[in-house]
Amino acid sequence: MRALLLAALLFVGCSTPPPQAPASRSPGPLPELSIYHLPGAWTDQDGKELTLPELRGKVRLLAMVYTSCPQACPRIIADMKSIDEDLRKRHPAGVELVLVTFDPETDTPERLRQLADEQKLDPRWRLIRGDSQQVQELAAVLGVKYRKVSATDFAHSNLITVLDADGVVVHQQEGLGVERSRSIDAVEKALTSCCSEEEGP
Amino acid sequence: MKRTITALLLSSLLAGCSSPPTPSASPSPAGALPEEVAVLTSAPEVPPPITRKHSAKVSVKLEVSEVESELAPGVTYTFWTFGGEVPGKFIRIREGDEVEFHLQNRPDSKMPHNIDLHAVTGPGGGAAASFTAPGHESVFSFKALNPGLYVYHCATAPVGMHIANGMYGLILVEPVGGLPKVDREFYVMQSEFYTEGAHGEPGLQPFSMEKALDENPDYVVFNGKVDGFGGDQAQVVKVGETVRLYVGNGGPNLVSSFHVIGEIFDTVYIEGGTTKNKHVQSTLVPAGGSAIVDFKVEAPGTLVLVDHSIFRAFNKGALGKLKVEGPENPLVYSGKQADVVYMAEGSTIQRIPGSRAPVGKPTANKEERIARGEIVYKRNCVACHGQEGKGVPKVFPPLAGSDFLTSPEVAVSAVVNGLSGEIKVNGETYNNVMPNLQLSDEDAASVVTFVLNSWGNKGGDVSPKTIARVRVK
Amino acid sequence: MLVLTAMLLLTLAPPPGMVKVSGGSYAPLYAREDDRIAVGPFLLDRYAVTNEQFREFVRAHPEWRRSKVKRVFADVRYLGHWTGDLDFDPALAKSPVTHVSWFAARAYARSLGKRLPTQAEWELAGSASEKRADGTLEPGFSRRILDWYARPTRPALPPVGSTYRNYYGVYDMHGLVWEWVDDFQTTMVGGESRGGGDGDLFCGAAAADARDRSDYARFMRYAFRSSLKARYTLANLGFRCALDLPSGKKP
Repeated sequence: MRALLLAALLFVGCSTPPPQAPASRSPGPLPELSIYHLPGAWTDQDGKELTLPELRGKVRLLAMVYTSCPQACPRIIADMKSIDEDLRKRHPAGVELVLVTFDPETDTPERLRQLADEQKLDPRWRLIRGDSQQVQELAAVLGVKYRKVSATDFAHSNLITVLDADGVVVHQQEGLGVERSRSIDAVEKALTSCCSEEEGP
Repeated sequence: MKRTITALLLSSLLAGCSSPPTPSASPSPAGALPEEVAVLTSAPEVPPPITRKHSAKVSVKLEVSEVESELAPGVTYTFWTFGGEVPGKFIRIREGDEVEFHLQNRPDSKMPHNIDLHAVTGPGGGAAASFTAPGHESVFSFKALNPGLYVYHCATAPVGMHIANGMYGLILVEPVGGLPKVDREFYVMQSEFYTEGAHGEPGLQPFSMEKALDENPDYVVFNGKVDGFGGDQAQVVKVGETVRLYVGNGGPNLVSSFHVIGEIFDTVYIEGGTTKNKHVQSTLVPAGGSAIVDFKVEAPGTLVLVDHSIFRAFNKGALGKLKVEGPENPLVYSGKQADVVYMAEGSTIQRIPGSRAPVGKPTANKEERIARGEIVYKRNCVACHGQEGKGVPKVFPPLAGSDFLTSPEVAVSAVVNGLSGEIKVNGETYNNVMPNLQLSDEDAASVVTFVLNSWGNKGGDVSPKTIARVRVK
Repeated sequence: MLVLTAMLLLTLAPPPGMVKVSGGSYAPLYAREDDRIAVGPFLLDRYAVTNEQFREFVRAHPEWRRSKVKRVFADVRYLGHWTGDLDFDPALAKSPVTHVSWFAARAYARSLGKRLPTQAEWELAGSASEKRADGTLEPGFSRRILDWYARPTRPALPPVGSTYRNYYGVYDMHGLVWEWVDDFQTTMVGGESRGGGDGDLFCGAAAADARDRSDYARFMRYAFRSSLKARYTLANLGFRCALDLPSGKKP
């Protein structure tokens, strides 16, 4: 059954731009600690432009990766998938997921699209790139450390960040394949405080 | 069409958002523990023993600060501290406690710091989790799984320098059921300092990395400075009290040969663990390690804490003082009682004119004499005649069941006048010297009474008057 | 022709307040000798940015005032030594501005068309003594640095230019304040040296010839940088700006 659902999602995801439903409520000013204060325009795997404030309104898991990453990034993505999978047992919608590339020079929207396809990422995943300044600033607010170590490789922190609907960091999971229950708790808490009123049926 | 499917799917997915929260937010069993804030003390004070019979969630708040203060008279140093002083605050918790640790780095600190508690089971002892920039606070939690006395220290790179500047202290994890009760407890921590200037060179002394690498300190001290446990910091205890020292060694390099001049440790919890050793003179305390030592103070005077790697004590500062106040107890310790010419085997005993037998408090009856006599015996007689009065075959005659002691007078004479030449005891011939022990009448009467009433001997009571009569004037 | 233009540009006087730091190579902490990073020539502020200068920036960019700044870009201590949005003890006018976040420092630099120096640039400029481009092995050079690290914070910071002027004509690289670098996040080495994937630091520490005290001082700067987050504002942390050479513009 889940396979079927997944297949459906994938099918949809391959052919349509991911939905970007704006928050249905009238949001106040962003909280002081929201990372969505960061300026700049980003581009996703479908070549669509977006700014961070557009991500407001949904609880999100976010991680920084790059497409030519041989080991760590696939594991980060796997960890995000397993958090999502666990969540969907209780919250069928799961969460929205964002991947930001460290390597905007290499990672064109096409490369991001390719990664999404390889990884069978459904439309809830947005893979985005900005310029190197934006990447640096986003890494700075998230506390992600990274360094280019060769023409193709980066050393980087392995961090999965839980953002509440306003883009405030509510939890960070560090390491690969680590215990994920605290991330899940954080997402559920964020879902409870954001989505139950306005997103309900 | 596809768009519609998406929308449909989405709406169903979104509906999931509104499902009621799961009860995962309810408190875990751990959350049910009673909460308390740990009492922290500066050396030489130790927080009071833990009396509760259950685990608790203990909040520990430790502030890191960088302060300039005295290392030795006229010499100052910029110490990096846990709690404003060296050594860091003493933390006392109980086995099974869940500790919420707050490491606060003062805004006026120049350095980031962290803490590695040897009592923590987990990566880095909390070091990575507690890495804290100036003006920030880190919080992490751990469960105290193992009882014992543990060192904590800063583990920020360069680790050696952070420790060399004073960043260490002790955390005691009391075992369930607690440690045996004692009258007094003190916190003593040894460490060494490496300064640009030589020992004693006045003024603010910077850290010398060369000397630290060579492990050649200018100062080896207790409690962070010369006379840190002594001088005006000297602690006073009373005769008869039981004393426990929580001894740590911050290093950074040296292993301590910890010793208290004038005491024997009745009990040493080796390396701060659970294994007890009895009757110990000196105990090794590794850098980054500890020991718990218990002893009962029996006689007044000043006990001197030293690192018995002795040049450290007398030349670099590793001296501490514990004053013991109370009435003299000559049975335990007499002061000098005799200074006799040492004669080789077979020669006669001589007394140096002018030396006097000390006077003890009079005993009132046989029981008191037996009790007092036992102490006198242990101090004066055990070496030759043995704990059980069995002597040493062919060298020192037995006192237990001895047929030589035909009357109390024989024993008294031997004690107060000495004895030399050939004697026969229980069929065995002995030819040795029994020195005149220079005991007071009281002590002599007591020890003879004790011997007559021990090990199956036939009893009796010798009064001090008898002694005076028998003593060769 | 191109070469000529470049040469011409190189001989141009640096903008006011900046000096040229000729390039060189720089060994990252615990890298092998052949892992040296080439650092191209660049321009660097002669002095750290002062309270007075930062006030002008804040005046022109109200979003960086104490009362306006978003907490995600600067923590609660931001400009905490000032008495108001635009006020501070006049005695501090020429002292380096501190209690500024990385975001604020970058915004300041950008407002002047400048940028923050990279860690490599900063370390290269910082290894100059009064007389030499590389003064790290001079007696007393590291002592000065370590002495400052070891001294408790003074209640008020002295003015910029009060310590020493180095070979390049840059002042106070050591002995006044810590300084932000643009890529502080690349310092992967944790201050914590064990466990948690930071093993490299420990091994490196053991491998480095720690008898070279310049390494020791550098070690501490790396540890310090790695303790920071971009929004932190510290009592001893300021910054100065850098600029690419006109000819050295990156593509």
